[in-house]
Amino acid sequence: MKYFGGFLVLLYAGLHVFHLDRMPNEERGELPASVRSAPGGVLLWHDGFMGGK
Amino acid sequence: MKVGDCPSCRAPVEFSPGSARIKVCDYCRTVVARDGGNLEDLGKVSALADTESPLRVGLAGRYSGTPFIVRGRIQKSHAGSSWDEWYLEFDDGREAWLAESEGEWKVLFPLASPPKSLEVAGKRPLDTFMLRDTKFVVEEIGTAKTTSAQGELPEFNRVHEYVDATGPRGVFCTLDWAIDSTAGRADVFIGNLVTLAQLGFDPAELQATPRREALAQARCPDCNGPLDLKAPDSARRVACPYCNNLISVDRGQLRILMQLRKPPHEPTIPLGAVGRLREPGADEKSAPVAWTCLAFLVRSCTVEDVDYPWDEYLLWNREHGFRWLLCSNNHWTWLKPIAAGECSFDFREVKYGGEKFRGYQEVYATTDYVVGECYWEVNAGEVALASEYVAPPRSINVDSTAKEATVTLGTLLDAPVIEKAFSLKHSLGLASGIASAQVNTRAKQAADAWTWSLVWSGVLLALAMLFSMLGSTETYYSNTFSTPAGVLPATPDAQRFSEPFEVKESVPLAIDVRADQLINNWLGVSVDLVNETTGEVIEVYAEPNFYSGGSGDDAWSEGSRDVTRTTDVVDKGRYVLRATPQFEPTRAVDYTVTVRADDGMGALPFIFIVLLLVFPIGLSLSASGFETRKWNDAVFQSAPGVSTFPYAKDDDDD
Repeated sequence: MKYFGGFLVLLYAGLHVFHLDRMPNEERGELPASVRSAPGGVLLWHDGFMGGK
Repeated sequence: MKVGDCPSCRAPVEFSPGSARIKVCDYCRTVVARDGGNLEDLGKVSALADTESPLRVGLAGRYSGTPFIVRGRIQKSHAGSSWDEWYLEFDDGREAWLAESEGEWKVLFPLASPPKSLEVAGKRPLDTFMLRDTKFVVEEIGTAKTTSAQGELPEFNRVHEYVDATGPRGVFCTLDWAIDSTAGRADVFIGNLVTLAQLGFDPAELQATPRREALAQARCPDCNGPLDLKAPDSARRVACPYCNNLISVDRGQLRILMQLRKPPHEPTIPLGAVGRLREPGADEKSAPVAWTCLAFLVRSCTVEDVDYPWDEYLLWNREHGFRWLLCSNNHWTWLKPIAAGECSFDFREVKYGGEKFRGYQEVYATTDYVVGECYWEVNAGEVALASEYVAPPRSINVDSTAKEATVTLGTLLDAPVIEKAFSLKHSLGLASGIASAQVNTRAKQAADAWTWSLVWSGVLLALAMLFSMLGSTETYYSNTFSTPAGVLPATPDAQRFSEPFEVKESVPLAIDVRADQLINNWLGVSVDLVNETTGEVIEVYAEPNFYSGGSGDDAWSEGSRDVTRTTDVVDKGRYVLRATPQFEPTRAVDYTVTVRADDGMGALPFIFIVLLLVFPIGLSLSASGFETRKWNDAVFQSAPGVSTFPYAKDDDDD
């Protein structure tokens, strides 16, 4: 337990420093190039990534 | 100093100056009592049996610096065995008795004025009484006969009762009173165990004991097989290993008592085997002691109609005396005799050496088989109440009968220690079950694990709090959105966009969706964060919902109006947020979306703390199971065959 506990503490410190201690809920992607280049940009983006439900 | 003539044979009777009131006529063995100038005939005594004592009347010695002379001697017998007691007169006027029994010597001084409150009748083994501010524990009660006498004596009783008791620090006490005493008062003697060397006798004056030595080569009176006695000085019973006759050894004479059954198995430690073993608790630097295996006994108890046998081995060393090795289910216990007076007995509890021993069992134990030589009058079939108190790995074991109690201190030994000590060629096998004095190693491991678990949990929590203090929780964006009436869910009309906002650090984000107006309703919001520079889209979905019903005590609710989702680290920069709500048509509600840095401690420390607790909890459960299984077997018998299990409980109770 002495070593296991120490290992967990070090592991937590390492994970936190490298921001690996998260359990993110997100999905990631890219804004379609057509949207980015269009007039109005992202404000006219009405499709894609509307998921989940 | 001549006083007169023997009333029986008219031979001259002389008394030395001193307190002796009795003189045994050297010629006709008449016991003569002087009363002033008169001499009274108290009858004759038998001729002295040759006990091969090294002492004799007239011998001079010195005890604690004071010279004394052996003035007289009486021979007593009890339960088929005999012993000598020597009357000593010291130069300073004191008198004492030197009792010789089982190879031990005790010097006992009479107490001049015993307390009147001291009750002597009705004492039983393990009863206690106070004397001179010392608590004594009764070890033996009995009736002894004076069979013979010699020289001068302070008094003479043919039959008397006695109570032997021990106190702390090696103190010994005897209460002694004549069987026909109407006063019910006892003579009280207090003293200590001594060695012959402490008594200052001139070694050249001590008599040799050739027949005792010859006993070592004695043969069975029945089958003539060599008995090969290892401790002839103290042997009282020998079981012939060839014909299984139980033989009494008294004053060097061998007498067949009974035919014994052959043990069901050979002794694991052969009789006569010598094992070199350092006694438990002895100094680690001390040399191992050579112990000779003298006897092998099989004893058993019956609980709920089931017999539970165990083996006992009697070990002996000339300097250290007797010890026992007890083997039960291949658990080996080293037993060292201790004075009962060293212990403080209470209900199911004994204190010894500052340690508390808890009562584990009390059973009626029967001696089923005997092989070898014993220092007490053992008989097959005899029953004793065997009590055991435990403080792992040690135990206090008490064997008691109506007349006697013996107390031993037990220590569990590992089987390999026995194998190595006695150079056994075969393995002793693995122990089965749990020994009464077995150490709960899981409990110690659990204690260690709890200590380290709590230490590291504290460190982890402190570290997490430090990270939390150093990390950012800044809110980058917060806004409340409304959905116009008549708009369908998840349509461009329902979508809302934020003004661009700045995420100032590369940190994980927490995106919180809150809908305070939710009543028996739900709202799903898909939140897309668009990095204006890179075009990266980070999307989370949160669905607050809240339902409630009933009233009063039956009121209920479930769900939450506030749901938070987290992201991994996002790049710093300008972001636009797109919120796409989903809802039951016509039931849209306003909602607030908040984006903030989530560089705090997170949930991981708590998960790790749970991990840290798993191991000690598991060990504690295991330790508890060990104790439950062990104490379930604890049994107390109020009479043979009448058993109670006061600590037993179902495993489910834990």
